[in-house]
Amino acid sequence: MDILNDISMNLQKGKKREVLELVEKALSDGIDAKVILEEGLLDGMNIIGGKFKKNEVYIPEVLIAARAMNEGVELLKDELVDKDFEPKGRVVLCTVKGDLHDIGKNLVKMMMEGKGLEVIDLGVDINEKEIVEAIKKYNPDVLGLSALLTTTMGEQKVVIEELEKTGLRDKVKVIVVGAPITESFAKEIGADMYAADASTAAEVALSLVG
Amino acid sequence: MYKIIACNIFKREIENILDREEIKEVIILEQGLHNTPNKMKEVIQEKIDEIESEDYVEEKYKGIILTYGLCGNGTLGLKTKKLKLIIPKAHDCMTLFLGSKEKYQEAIKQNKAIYWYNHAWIDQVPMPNKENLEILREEYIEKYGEDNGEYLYEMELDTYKKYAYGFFIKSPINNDIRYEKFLIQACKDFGWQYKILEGDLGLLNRILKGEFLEEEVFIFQAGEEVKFS
Repeated sequence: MDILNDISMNLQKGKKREVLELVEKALSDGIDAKVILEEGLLDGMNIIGGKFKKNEVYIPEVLIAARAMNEGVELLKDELVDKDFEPKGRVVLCTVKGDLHDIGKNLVKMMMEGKGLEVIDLGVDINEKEIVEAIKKYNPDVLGLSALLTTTMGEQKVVIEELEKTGLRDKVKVIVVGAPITESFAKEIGADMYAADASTAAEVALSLVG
Repeated sequence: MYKIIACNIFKREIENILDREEIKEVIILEQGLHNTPNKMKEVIQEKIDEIESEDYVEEKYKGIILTYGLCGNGTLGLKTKKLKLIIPKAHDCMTLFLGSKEKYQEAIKQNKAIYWYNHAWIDQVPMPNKENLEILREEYIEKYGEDNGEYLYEMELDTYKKYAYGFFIKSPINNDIRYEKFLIQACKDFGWQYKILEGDLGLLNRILKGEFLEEEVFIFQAGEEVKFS
């Protein structure tokens, strides 16, 4: 449908106002909210995610596209709830203790939401106790841990050890992300998966909930 | 004699420490490679390979010194074929500007919400302060329009507001007061506390001059891959 394509195209350009108008119009044309979400909003976000991975667009482009997506999803929320629309899985995400970098983590969040996952973002500088509490409270399928510094990447290990101590390790899959993180580090600390970039993190999370 | 691969952030320090002949053996790389650790590794490896492709390289040089620490793990996995590779035991350049990894550990012990400044960073990078953010805001608005531009600017501003401290490392070779003033103003702009730390170039000096202490450097033999434990 042309209007869904228009939503996707405008979202890719971060044109929030146009996206919102088109979503309203699609709803009043009687298009199903789930179809608008998946074939319009998420389609656009996935295309941007792919381009970001290939360095064809940069962080600001992703941020404004995600902003348009999130506000578009807001418009669909009531309809989606009425129809018992279930997200594909739930992720708890944060940047570890002592680390204040949030842009990378936000990108991961946006890419995951673009894949139809529900993401609970705990924020930055989150310690292992707070993470354990969040796992108990939200019972997510996946825990995403971000660390941007070589001084803080060790905290990912601390979190995994805390999950083991509290008997929660088997209940959640752990993905580690961040510029200094490598696959061998992920293995060494006992994470389930490593992702080299935000798009891959979203793909990996989706594969873990599927 | 050693071949040196250095980050541009140390340009002034290197010019101060080494003599004219020694400087000829220094390859300076652009600042900011740590932001993309994989690319950083590629760029440095390429330079190592270039150096090692020279004739009689083993007779000419005793080894290759990097003025890089872990730097986002951009040095992880590097490998030489013929020469030793010497890498400072440091997370990043702050250790080298401060003079020891112990001083760095001490500084971040209480709180890691620190934004670090020094003369080289202020000269080479648009370090956060109100003025530089304002420039960024205008660039965003020009590129992405008023609404999205403001949004991106606000996100940027929020990031800096999460920090609690601005730390300034005083340079023994560049005591221009405007750098310190820059830091103090930035701290006012973002509501941070500030702290001035004394820099010390002893560590960098020893490393550049080939004086290697076990507690200060990793030495990797030819053929050995760089790993940190």
